[in-house]
Amino acid sequence: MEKINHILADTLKIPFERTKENLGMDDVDHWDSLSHMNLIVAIEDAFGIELSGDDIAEMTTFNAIRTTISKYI
Amino acid sequence: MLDNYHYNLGQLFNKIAFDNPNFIAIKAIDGTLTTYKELQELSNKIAHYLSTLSIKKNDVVAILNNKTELSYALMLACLKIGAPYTNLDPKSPIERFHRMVNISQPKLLLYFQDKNSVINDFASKSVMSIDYSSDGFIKKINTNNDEFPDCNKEVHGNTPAYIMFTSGSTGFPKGVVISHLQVLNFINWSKTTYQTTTKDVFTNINPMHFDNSVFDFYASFFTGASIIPVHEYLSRNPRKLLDALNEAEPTIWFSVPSMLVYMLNMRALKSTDLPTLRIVTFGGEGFPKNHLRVLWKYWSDRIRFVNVYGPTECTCICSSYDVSNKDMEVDDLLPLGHLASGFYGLVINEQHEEVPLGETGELCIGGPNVGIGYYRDLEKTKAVFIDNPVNKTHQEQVYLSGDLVKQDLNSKIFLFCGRKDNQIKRMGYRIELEEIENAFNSIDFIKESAVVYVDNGRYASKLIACLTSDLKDEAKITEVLKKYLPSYMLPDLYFYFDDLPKNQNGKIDRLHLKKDLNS
Repeated sequence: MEKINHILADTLKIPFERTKENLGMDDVDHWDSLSHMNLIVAIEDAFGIELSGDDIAEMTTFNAIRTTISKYI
Repeated sequence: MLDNYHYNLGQLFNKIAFDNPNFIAIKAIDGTLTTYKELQELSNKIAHYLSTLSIKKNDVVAILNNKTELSYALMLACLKIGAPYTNLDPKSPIERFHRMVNISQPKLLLYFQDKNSVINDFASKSVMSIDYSSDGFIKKINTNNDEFPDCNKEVHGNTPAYIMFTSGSTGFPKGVVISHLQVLNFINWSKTTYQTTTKDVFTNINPMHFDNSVFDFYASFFTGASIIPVHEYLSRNPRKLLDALNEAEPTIWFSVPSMLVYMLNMRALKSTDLPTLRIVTFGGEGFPKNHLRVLWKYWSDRIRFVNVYGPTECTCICSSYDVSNKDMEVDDLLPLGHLASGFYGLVINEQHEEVPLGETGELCIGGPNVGIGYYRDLEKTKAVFIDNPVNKTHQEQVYLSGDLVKQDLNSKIFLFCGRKDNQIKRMGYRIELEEIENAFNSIDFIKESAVVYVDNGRYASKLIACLTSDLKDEAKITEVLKKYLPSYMLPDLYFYFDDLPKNQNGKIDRLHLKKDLNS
């Protein structure tokens, strides 16, 4: 989980503390398409996984991201 | 029967709505439809309401646009009374928003309620502000008559239609002013180039504060076609966007290549998506060939691909290029194409002399869409809106684009070679790197800063801030930068130096930094 939180903080430019909340795309100023793309690439690199298009479509909140990643690892 | 001669955009829209009253103007994603008659009456009522607020020709109206029926009607109402509108980003950083308000000095600011809107932090009493998403606003509008406003007669071709803000190297955004006549010509160009009819359905994915939306708005509403408003939250989720668009059935798509690349990278796009589409057109930045080839494989058998080019200063688009199989065989970026009919391009050197055919120089654009200049900024206007340096017989305004181009020796089409300054494109947005550096100046512990854009195997499309600073507190830096810069301008990486390299003139050597980062 710590690893995911670091990725969220770095790519979405938010304080590390906030990654513990369940924020959604509308709660984070910097969560636009560019940072979403960076986020997905960073997750795939860090966990060595390839996410499906359907999974990516659901990854719009921190909790959904954690749930999706847990399916792969 | 209404007159076919239109010298302003209000008259043209009036004619379109009169001829096609029951045609669909807006196809909302939730299935709500708005006819031309409804949009015409609504915008007429707003036009009268604006007049009761003493808004008249040449008064600027700032709009935080949420792509609803009402927000499109606000733009149309402004056009009808000759009040130039400026669509400002509802998510603007507060300091940048203040700067755009100070430059445009709107007489009225129209906003909607949203928890993430800059309006929540904007406390200026100097601008009359109205919430157009409130019930009270609708009630007030409905007390006005729905006839086309008489004052429209006073709106002449040179009246500013809109102000579009773009990045400025001094740290202050520049407001590009475009007139009614320039947009009328643009509409004619789009009709001819895309052979649009009232049966066409345009996507409106581009944010309204972004120049590409000029095409979406004018090419659709001013030809009697339909528009599908796409809200920002939907465009961030490409699979859901495509599902919604498959239902809404667009025929013409216009976006930056980055949006299409985003859909491919997010594994959202299938070859069977958007079965009703007949044209995909893109511009604002180069389309990386590896991604273009994938899209071409998916769609080229049934969809026409058009690459377009044009600075904001020349009314959105001034050249187009139809992509063909031949373009897939080479790795170079697509050509910019031929300039639109009525335009001409000069390729000039630093002495403002034409270079021989085939040599690289700065593209200087002349023609009917060359804008009026920068709002309340004569100095910057004079620097780039200049007299045609080659014409020695009469005055003729041309725009110095800053784009380095060369012409193909045989076809004479323009090929993009780079920029002569530090402007870059990211997600299609124009960014003057100096605007980011200026934001660093407001952070007291940063001694020196230089921002470079690097796109190589090691750093893919990264904005890198090179800093000298005693404190390396990136959270604090980001907190300050967010007040001045929109998210697409925030650096991705920070590198710290004891001293930044300098050139012979003592200026920070950006090329040296870039070379180091490339090595």
